[in-house]
Amino acid sequence: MIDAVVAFFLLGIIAQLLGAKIPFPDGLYKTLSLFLMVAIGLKGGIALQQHVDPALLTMSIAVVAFGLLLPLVAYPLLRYFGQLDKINAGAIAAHYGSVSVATYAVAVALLEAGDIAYEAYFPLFVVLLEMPAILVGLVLAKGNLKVINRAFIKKELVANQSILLMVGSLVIGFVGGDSVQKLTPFFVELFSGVLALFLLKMGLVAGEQLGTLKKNSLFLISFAILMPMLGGLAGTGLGVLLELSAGGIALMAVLGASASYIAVPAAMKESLPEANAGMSITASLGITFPFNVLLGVPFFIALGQYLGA
Amino acid sequence: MVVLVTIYFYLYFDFCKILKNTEERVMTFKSLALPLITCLSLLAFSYLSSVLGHGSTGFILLAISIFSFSIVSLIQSSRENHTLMRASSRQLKEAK
Repeated sequence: MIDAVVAFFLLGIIAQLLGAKIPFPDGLYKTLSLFLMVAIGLKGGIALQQHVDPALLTMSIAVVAFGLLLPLVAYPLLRYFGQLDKINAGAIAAHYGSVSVATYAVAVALLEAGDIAYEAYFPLFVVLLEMPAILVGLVLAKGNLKVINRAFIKKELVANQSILLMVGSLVIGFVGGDSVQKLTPFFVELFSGVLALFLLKMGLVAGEQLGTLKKNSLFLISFAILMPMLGGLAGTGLGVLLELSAGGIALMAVLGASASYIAVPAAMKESLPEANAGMSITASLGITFPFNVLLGVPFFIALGQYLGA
Repeated sequence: MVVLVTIYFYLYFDFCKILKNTEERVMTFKSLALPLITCLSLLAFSYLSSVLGHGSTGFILLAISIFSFSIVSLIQSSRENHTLMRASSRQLKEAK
C-alpha cells in the first residue's frame, strides 16, 4: 500500500507523461524547498534539545568519512563502465555522494507514519553529508587539490543556502526553549501537506526528465539504480556500526542511497561549468529519486526494522 | 536467473562474433556489464525484500525492464553492425 504523500509524486509523473499542464510557479517550488529545510532543521533542534547524545562527535566524524568515501565508489563505475571523462564522472560522483533533502523528508514522513523512532540529530547528519562529496567530486574531476580554496569554502560551506537554513533552524530549535513551540503548528503540523505538494512538483520534473532519456541511456539508467542500492547498503552498514535505532539505520541507508539535485548541481555549475549538467540531473532526479521514493525508502525502512530489532 | 544470464551471454557472444576488433568487444562488454550487474542486484534486493516480508514485485519488474532494454540495445547494435558490414562489403565488390 503506497503512502498518500508518496502518491503525489506518482501523480506528478503520470500528469507529466500524459501531458497535463499543471501550473506550478517556480516561486512556490522554492518556497516549499525553503519550508522543508527549515522544518527539518527545526524539528531536529527541538528533538535534540530533549535528547543530547554524548557520542555525537564520534558519529559525526564517521558520517563525514562516509560522505568522503561514497563518491569514490561511484567514480570508478562511471569511468570504467560508462567510459565518461574525468569531469563528468567527478560531477556525477559528487551528486551521488551528497544527499537529497527531499528523499530524507519522505523517509522521515514514512517513519513517523509507521511510528518508528529515529535519532533526533539526523538533520545534523544531513547537513554534514552535503559538503564532503562536492569536495571529493571536484578533486576527482580536476585531478588536484588546488580547487579547494578559501573562496570555494566560503561560498559552498558557509554561505550555502541548504546548509545555512538547516543549521540555522537546528540551532534555533535547540536553543529556542519554550518559544519554539509557537512555531510547531506551522512547521511541524503542516510538514506532510507541504511535502505532498513538493513531491507533486518533483513528480512533474522527474516525468519531464524521463521523457528526455536518449537512445544510449542504458548505462545511465543502470548506474542511477545500482548506485542507490550500493550506497543504501553502505549506509545500513554504517547505521549498524554506530548502533543506531531501527529508524536511524533506515535513515542512514536513505542518506547513502540518495543523490543531490539541488545543492550539488548549483555547486557544479559554478566549479565545473564544463560538466554535462543534464546527465547528472537526469540520473539523480529522473531515475534515482523515483527509485528511492517508490522502492528504496520502503525497503530500507523494512531492513532497518529487521536489523534494529 | 541462470536462464536469463545464459540468454544474455549467448546474445553478447553472438554479437561479439561480428566485432572482430578486440577493443570493440571490450567496449561492448563494458557497456553491457553494468546493466547485468544492476539486474542481478535488483533480483538480490527482491529476494531480500521477500525475506523481510516486504513487497518484491517492484524490484523484479525493474530488473526485467532493464534486462529487456539491454537485450533490445544489444540486438539493435548487432543489426546496425550487420548493415554496416554489408554496405562496406558491397562497396568493396563494386570497387573491384
